[in-house]
Amino acid sequence: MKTRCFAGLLLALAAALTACSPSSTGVDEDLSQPTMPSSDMADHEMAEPMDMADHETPDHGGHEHGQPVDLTGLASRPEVSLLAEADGSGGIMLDIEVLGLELVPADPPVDHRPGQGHVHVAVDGLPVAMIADTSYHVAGLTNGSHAVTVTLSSNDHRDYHAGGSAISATADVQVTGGAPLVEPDVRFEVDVAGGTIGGGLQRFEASVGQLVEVTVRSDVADDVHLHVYDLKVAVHERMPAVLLVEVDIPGVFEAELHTAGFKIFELAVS
Amino acid sequence: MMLPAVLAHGVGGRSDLPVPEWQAAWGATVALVLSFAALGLLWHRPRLRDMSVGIPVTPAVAGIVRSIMGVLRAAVLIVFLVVLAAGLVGADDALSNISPVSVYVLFWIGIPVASILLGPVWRAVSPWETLGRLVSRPSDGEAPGWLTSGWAALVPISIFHWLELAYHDGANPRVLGWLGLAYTLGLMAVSRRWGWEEARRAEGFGVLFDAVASLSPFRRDGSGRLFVRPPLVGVAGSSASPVLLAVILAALGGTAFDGFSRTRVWGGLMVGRAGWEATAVSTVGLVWIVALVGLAYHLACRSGGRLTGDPDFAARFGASLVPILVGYDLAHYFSLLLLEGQTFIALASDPLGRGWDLFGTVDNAVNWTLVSTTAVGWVQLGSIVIGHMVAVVVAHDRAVEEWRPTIALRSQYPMLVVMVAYTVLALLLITG
Repeated sequence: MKTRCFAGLLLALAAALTACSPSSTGVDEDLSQPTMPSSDMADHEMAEPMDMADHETPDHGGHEHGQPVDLTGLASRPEVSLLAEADGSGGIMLDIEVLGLELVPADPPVDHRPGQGHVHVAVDGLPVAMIADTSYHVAGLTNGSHAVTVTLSSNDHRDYHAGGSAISATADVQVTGGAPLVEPDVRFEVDVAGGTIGGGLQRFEASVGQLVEVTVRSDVADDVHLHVYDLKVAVHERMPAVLLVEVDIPGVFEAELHTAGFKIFELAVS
Repeated sequence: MMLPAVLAHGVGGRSDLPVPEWQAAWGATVALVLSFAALGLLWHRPRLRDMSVGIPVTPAVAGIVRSIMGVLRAAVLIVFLVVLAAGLVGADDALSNISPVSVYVLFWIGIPVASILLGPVWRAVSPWETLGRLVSRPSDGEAPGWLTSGWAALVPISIFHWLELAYHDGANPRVLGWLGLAYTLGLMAVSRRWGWEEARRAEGFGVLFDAVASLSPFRRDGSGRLFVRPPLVGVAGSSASPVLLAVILAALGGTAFDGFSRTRVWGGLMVGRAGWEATAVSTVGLVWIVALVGLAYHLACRSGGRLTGDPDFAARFGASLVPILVGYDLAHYFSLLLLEGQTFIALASDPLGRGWDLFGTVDNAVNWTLVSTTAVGWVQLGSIVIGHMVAVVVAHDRAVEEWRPTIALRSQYPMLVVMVAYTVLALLLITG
């Protein structure tokens, strides 16, 4: 990964080269840091691997950068579908189904050949991998909603298009158990099982202005509702609810399981 | 599914922060020291009864007050009808229907606060008073005992407390709507049959609010003349009937339970309980606390009766519980009135939850930081301690009115014990 440093110096150049599509250094591994929510950050991250690729390996194959491979005219076009599920520890498991395309690893580089290709995986619009497998694991994500997109790509990394748009599939996944979006000042946890709260009913204390994160686990599906701050987050046995709130109203606030109808913690803000 | 906890429980979204223990301890100390000082240092001849009479206002002022009350009476009647309609046919959702906040905050807390400040306002503006007089007919026979005895007043008060504090779906607009309608029709039927003067005895809220209004600097005599007097002394002149005593103790116990139910002890007990199971447990808790509060007063009065040989001891000092009740109420509900009460502004524009915006206020957001938690803490402490002091002074005055100083002093030992017990309980509840 020494090339990353080199590429980092050329960020300015990268801006001029954004029209270039990624080249062939892509391997079946994560290319990026854990995804960040801010969009300008995403732009930089996106630019980095492309830039690196273009300078590491001379442009090959003579294809026109950014020009997709249009398959609209084909009688049977390739198809892709995606099943994505949070793994509960900051990652997403992808189950990809590809029809009508032979998956060929892009490393070492191969030239474009009709009927062959691989899958580009992007999270929140940011490329994370190029793969020739039908399952993939994205790790190290922040908590919250992430959009995962898989796109069919030619051997030379051009998107396959049909009907004017890329052949792709997208899934929105609520990631939990990963890094918080931003580092909270205080963290609390609540475990609800069998109608009881582990450790009993707690009153969590925080100061005005703090960023508070409360993780609620429950053995039954429900919504966690924190009054006045009006947060409502879904929870089920495999997915804890993460309530993240900057507390700016002093007082004592109750959180309850919406359907079960009982209080599960209190938040005292002073 | 509603959010029952939001509204049913004293409508509390934001509870007050616990008052620091040192602050409460100071409050308790002040209350204790002043109480015992009162035994020896206060006057030996009754003073408050004369002060509680006050002076009549000039006819001009009385006229202005009368016209203002006329306007208010009409306004309250309209609000009442809107709230009733909202309960019956409005959105079936506690948060987008105007009825829960109107019933539990504006009516149940707002009217007592207005009564303390302005006197017997409920008597002047109550829609039941307005409608009851309208349908009233002279009695065509002797009213039955359950009505003339006044015990019927305990029914609406008890049901209301249960609905607010124990029933799991107490903020359900339909429940409020139908019960409100049933109560209104019941009162009207009684008024039609035996006349409003009799029916009023069954209007428990009026009975309670009238008692609270006795603390105000305004009063009306039997003929409706308006008097001005020093605040807080008004309870001095009145005995509490057994009915009024029961109503006051029920309200006191209810408020204490509301405080208790916000402690973690109670919260822990309610974990995993919902629906009718929660209702059942809360009902037991509510009845238990009301019984405890009542029993404390009963024991004090029995002992006081023995010390003084006075069979009417409980009634004689019953009115001195009113300031304690008001202290409890302000301590528990002051912030609720100022904060949750704001939701009325938005809901007034869309009372039925139909997406209207009648007054352009539908987007009015609640300012949850309108009062600082420090200010709330001091109001809580102040109202409890001041309520306690007024109660002690009033009871003292009643005692020296009835007995010579030595017996009067003796009569106050059990009264002080029970009042200090109530006050310490109140202080404990606001530190929880």
